[in-house]
Amino acid sequence: MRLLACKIENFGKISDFTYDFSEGLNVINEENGWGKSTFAAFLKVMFYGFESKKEKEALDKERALFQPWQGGVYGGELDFSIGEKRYRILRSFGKTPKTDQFQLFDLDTNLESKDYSEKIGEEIFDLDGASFKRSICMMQNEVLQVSSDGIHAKLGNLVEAAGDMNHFEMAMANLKDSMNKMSPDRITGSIKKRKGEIGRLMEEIKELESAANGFEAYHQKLIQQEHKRKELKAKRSSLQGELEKVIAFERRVAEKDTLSAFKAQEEQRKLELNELSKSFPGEIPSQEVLQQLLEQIQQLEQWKLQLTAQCLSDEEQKAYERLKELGEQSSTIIPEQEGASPNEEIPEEPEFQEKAGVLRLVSVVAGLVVVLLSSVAFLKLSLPTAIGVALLLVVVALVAVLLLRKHFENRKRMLLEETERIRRLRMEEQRLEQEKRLQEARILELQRQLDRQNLSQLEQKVRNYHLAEEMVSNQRQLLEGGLAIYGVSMTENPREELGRLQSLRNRYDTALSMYHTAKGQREQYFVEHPYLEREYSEEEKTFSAEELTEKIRQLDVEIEEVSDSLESYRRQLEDLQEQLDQKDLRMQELEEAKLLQKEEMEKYHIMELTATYLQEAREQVIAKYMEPISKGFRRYYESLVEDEKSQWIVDANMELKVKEQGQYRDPRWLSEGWQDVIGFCMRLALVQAMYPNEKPFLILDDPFVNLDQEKMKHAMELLKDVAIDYQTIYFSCHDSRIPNC
Amino acid sequence: MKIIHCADLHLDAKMTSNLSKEQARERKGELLHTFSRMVDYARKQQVSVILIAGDMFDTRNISATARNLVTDCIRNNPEIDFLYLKGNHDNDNFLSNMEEVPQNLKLFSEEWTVYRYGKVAIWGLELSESNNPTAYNSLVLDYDDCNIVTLHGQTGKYAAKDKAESIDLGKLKNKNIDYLALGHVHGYQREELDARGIYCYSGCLEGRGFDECREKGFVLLEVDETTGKCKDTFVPFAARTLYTVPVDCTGASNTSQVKERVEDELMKQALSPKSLVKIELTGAVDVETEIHEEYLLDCFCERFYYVKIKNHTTYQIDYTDYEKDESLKGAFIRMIQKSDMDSDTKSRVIRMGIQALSGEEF
Repeated sequence: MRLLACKIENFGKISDFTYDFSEGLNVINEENGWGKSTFAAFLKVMFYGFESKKEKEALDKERALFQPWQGGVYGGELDFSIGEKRYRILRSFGKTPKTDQFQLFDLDTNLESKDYSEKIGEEIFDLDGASFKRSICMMQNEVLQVSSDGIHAKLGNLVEAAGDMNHFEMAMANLKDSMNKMSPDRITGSIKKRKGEIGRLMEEIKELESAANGFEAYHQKLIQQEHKRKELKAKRSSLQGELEKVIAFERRVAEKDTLSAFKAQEEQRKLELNELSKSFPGEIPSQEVLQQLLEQIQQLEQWKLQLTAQCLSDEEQKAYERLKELGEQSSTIIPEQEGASPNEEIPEEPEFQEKAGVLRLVSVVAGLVVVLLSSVAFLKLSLPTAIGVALLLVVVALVAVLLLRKHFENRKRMLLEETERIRRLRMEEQRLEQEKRLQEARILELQRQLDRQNLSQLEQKVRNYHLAEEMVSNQRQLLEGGLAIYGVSMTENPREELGRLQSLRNRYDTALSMYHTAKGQREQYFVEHPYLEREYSEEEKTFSAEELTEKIRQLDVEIEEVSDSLESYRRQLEDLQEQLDQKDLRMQELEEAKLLQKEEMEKYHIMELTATYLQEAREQVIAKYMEPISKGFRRYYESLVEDEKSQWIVDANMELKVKEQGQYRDPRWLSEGWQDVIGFCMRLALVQAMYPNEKPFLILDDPFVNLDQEKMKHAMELLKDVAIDYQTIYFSCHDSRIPNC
Repeated sequence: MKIIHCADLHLDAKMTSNLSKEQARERKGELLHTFSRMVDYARKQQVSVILIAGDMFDTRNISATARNLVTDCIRNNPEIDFLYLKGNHDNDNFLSNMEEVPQNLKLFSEEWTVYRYGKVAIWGLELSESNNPTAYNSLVLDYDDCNIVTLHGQTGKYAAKDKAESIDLGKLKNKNIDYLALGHVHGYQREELDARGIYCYSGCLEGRGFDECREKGFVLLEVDETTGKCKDTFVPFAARTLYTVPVDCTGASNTSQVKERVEDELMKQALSPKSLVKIELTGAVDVETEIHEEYLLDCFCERFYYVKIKNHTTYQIDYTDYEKDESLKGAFIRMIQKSDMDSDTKSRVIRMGIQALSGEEF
């Protein structure tokens, strides 16, 4: 197969790029960053597309990675020949595989060809895209620097480089490590450990299962003891009932005694009351009645006092009679006095007249004194009035005396000194006389008024007396009647008698109260104990209360003992139940452990199978490629090194051994440059082995950067040699690594 | 009259599978708390009877905390009758430790026992190997009653481990049962029993493992005491819910694509952060597709209370892709293809070989 030309519309950073491939070696000497990887990827993608289920992620990334930088159609054309025929692949890519387009044209007819499908790469090379890419692309850093872990000379790495065999050791190590961790044979293996755990759990369960028998036995004992306790409690309950009956009987007896005591007390009180009632002379007066009678006596006494007070004394009697008489005469006397002439002439002799005036005055004063005295004498009760009147009279009299004395003195002086003024004096005398008469008339009037007043008072007193007399009589009659009911006569000292009755009544009341209290107590007790009314026959008493109490006490002790034993059985049952619960728990743990064990055993089995098949697959791959690789390696190595004397072999483990001092050893002594050379030879040998039929093109990305000048010379020769068999696209960025064609 | 039908509470269960010690302790507490919440709910809703159709406790040895909590719940709600039928996980331990059984805790036995509430008759029998053969014929129910029958066991559809646990639904048909309250199966199920009645598994109160996914709770029965008609409603009540989220990874070629698919599926399901989630990767992926489960777990573990990744994907391999592969891998795959291993083993060995060659961890 040979590439003819390509046209890249847009692919990553490369845009509108065409390239015509020549047969053999195609050298592209461009600087780093030109897009060598992109170009290599384009060539691969033209044959395989991006599609690959297995490496979806990687290629999804690749699809995104080579999205055209400037947009536009994503894809291009590739012309190639195979056998006698020439074809053109046209591919364009969208965002997803569904939008990708593929066309194949026969360049000789320019018609679309159906010789190959879109899986044209697989159809031509019999390898998938990933294998193709891994084998034909020898990139600077991924191809020759195969490994850095000291197995540079391991020929097996050639195969690993073709796929994921470089992960084989790691995969096997991981598997081995995991299997060791799970191993059923190693003591550190989880399966082995769990096996022990399962055994221990089974042992424990077996041991705990024995608790079930113990549990049943104790349970039976518990039931028996519970039954016994039940019986004892029933017996106790029966005895308790009996005891309660006995206690109730005894209590009733005591209650009956109490009731009898109450009754006796009541009778006693009743008797005392009757005795006291006999002490009353008549009916038993109530306290109120006695009080009323006492009040009546008091009223009678008051009336009697009134009677005494209103009785007229002898003087009063006389005054009364006199005043009565005066009252009868006043009608004749007063007109006589009124008939006296006011124009009575003044006596001619002043001495006579003086004497007459003095006498008159004295008589008036004496009259006043008499009136006053009589008034005082008669009206003892109205003494203040009498005194008032007397004082008034005295004042009037004194005023009169003073006036008269002055007058007489004046007259004496006037008689002596002024005789000629007699007429005037007489006139004065007349005036005075008139005045005197008026005064006398006034005094008389006052006297009359006093008399009338005294009479009225005396008459009132007489009336009062009669009233008191009547009241005393009535009161006495009423009291006599009242007292007679209770056997008290008015002849005795009724007040004293009533006092005695009152005292008796008090005692009676006390006795009555005591009687009522006693009766009330009896009745209340009866209400509280109504059953006492019934007559109880002598109840049958098998045992006394003390005996029954003792029996109950003994039963209590027995019940206590049974309860203790029950408690003990319960504790033991609880222990056993705990063990049975533990058994359940252990069984659950066992179940879980068994499940986990099964899962791990399965996983372990899968790991075993995986390890076995991986090993076999590796051997198969090695077996397939060992001979061709060994042959190819020899060819390329010898042409590169020109050392026919070197003795090396590839062993069954695809390991390269170099004979040194009679022994095959790891070629660790090789320099970095030699290791690169060996690696390159290995890859070529691999391509030779992998593509036995249709030879592919090779893409070499500056693989000889580590070689010295001498080796470089050989490398360039080898490159030319390789290009004879394989169309080679060789990228380099330095002229020193360009072969002379 | 309201009745709660619950079962399989499994109080005191250790909850150690899947969870860390701390989470297991927390879940154990949540299990108890959910029971307590259910009793509170019953009191508020004026429920007359809480019917426990077996497996109240998980272990023989009941912790003091669990025992005291249950006893307190019963004693503190004397207006509610707790009808307790023992299941295969229960034993006498809870009752035998009680000095005195509370009056409102009513028990069933290995003989048919009935508790009547007017026209509502609640029957129950603790199945055993000895009474199982005669259990069906000895159940005689009054046509006029509203008959609720309680049993703990597996209906005939499934194979019961123990004969004692087996319930023959056929023999319970046409027996005047209105509601057959069952326990033992941890998921809610409700189906017709016959023309008159239904049978119902209430399921457990809280899911404990990924075999107990989706909503958990109890059944609330409302019985019309005059007509005897019975209405049943499932009440989801669990504190946390477990979910298995299958994610089809077919065609995914790497971990990040698988992650995207998991994201999409979780987005669709909109699960509560309190949930426990098992992400189950399914479908066939290319043999070269790597799925890094630990990385995926890291991505999602913070989203929920607990996350587990289970890779159930199968490997797909197109051997034609490797026909022209002149590499060790190509040779290896071709060799496997020619071997007499079954296809599953082949794909697993190929997968492991590829993993090994590409330096991946196993």
